[in-house]
Amino acid sequence: MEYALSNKSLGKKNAFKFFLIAIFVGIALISIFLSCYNGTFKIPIWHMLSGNLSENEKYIFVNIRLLKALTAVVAGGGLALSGAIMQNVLKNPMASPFTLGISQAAAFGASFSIIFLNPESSSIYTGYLGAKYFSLTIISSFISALISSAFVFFVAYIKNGEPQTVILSGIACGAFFQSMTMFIQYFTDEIKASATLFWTFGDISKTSYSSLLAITFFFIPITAYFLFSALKLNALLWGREIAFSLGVKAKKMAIISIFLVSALSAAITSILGVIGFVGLIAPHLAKMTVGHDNRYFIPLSIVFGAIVLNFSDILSRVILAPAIVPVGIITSMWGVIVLIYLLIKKEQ
Amino acid sequence: MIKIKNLTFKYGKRKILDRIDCDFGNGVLTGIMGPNGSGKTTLVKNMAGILKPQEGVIEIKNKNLNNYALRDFSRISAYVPQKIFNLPSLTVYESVLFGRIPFMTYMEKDIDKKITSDLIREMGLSDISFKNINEISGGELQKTIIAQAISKEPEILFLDEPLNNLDIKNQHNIMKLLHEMTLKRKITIIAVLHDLNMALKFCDKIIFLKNGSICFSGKTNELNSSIINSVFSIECEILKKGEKAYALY
Repeated sequence: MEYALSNKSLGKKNAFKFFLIAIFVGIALISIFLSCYNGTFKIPIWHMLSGNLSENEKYIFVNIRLLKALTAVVAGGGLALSGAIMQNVLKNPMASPFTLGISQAAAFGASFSIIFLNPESSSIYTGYLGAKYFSLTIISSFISALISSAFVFFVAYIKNGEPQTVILSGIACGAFFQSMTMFIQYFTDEIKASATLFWTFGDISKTSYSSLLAITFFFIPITAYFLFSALKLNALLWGREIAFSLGVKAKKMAIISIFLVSALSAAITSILGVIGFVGLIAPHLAKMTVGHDNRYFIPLSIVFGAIVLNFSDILSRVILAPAIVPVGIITSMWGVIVLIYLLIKKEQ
Repeated sequence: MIKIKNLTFKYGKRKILDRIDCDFGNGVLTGIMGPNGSGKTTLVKNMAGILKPQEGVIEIKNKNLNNYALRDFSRISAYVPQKIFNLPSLTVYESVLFGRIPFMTYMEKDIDKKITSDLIREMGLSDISFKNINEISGGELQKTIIAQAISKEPEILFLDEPLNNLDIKNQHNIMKLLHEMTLKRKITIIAVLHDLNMALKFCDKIIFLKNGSICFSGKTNELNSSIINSVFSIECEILKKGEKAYALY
């Protein structure tokens, strides 16, 4: 037992956790390569590695595959970070951008824009919007998601960041936006209604380099903040009173955290649509791998989020090739299976 | 170590503590007792800085509690709550280590690891040091939480009902440990207790609260049955056997 508690063995345990994170970073990088390779048109990996790409290959690689892979990494990482922080701060393993109503609010904003701010139904006939209206839809969706976040933030503020109240207000807020979406869908024409439905399918194909930049603009500083605040978040794991005794103001920390991850998930959802379960599954997998210590848990959640979304995106391209299934459908399908498996395993 | 002057605390319009005056000496184990709702937890939370009083002054080491920076205060005091909801998925070792957070910048240093390992051995938690805290017994968890509080080597330790859910042996062991800490480490310990016999056996001083006011504050051997009768409204007898005293009720 003396050995079990020696500094050497403790150092090894920490080193092992870093090693695990490094392994999964490697897997995330492999998933980027696989994502660039896979699709109806295959780009050989040695062409990518040597940079010896034909014109067609270069166009597809730069403008489609790499863009999608990088978006999946940043968006998956961002959704996982949001879920991890929400689960931490709200002390609820089911907390995610969906639980706090952010996804539903983003869907309402997009539906509102498609139905009321688009002058012609013909421009959205196929479900894809023109560039101008696509930007309008993103902005409208983001504003709506921020309104929802502000509401949850307000409740968190007046109720001192009380976890259960925050979650219940998030669920209520989500239900409200969902009913509002159905309300405006009911009174619009079929084309616009189907366009709103199409938007709710989370899809990485909606991305562009400017969208990727916008998500990264939120992702990097927010990730940096939480990585540096990992010890404070560790104090928060024990509840408000012990956190205070450890020198952390739990209310302030909870409110700042909810605000930041709400903004991050609002940015991702408003651009890509509703991508469920990544924010729920990735933190659970990370917790099973390295435990709850946020110094390891947060980075690994982000890496798992990137891996999960990237592989789901690859699957969405090959499962019914040449047709591409929206990635939100894939993540929800296998997300449910993994979640049930985890719950059963935990019970056992 | 701690001086309280004219402390009044209200939840809304309801007065919980009414003009409390008392002090707590250095290296003394004080038991705070009283009927349910008498304000014991509120008093301890005020002293630990978790609640802010509407009136009165709390001085810790001759300095007003309000004038402490949170980080500085967290380095000299520790608080153990009655109950922790939704335990995180951490090992006993990690749980104790995180008591060192006020001294850590990011990764733990050798001194943090040494203090944690020594404390785990001292508390008899070595065999379960790498077990998840969700898989250990109530007594082991309570010891882990107390070890976490002590790991920052505080000068003052506040405990709110530390004997909850423990069997007699574990209750005895924890009180013995607290008593030894006042002797060895000179820590000032203030614990909310319900077991009069444990308080009589291990505490140096007892404070009785009733309806938010202090009914008795003094050394354990100054306590008599009429004080207990008036606070709890029960028939009670104090039996003395040598230096030890027992309450029979």
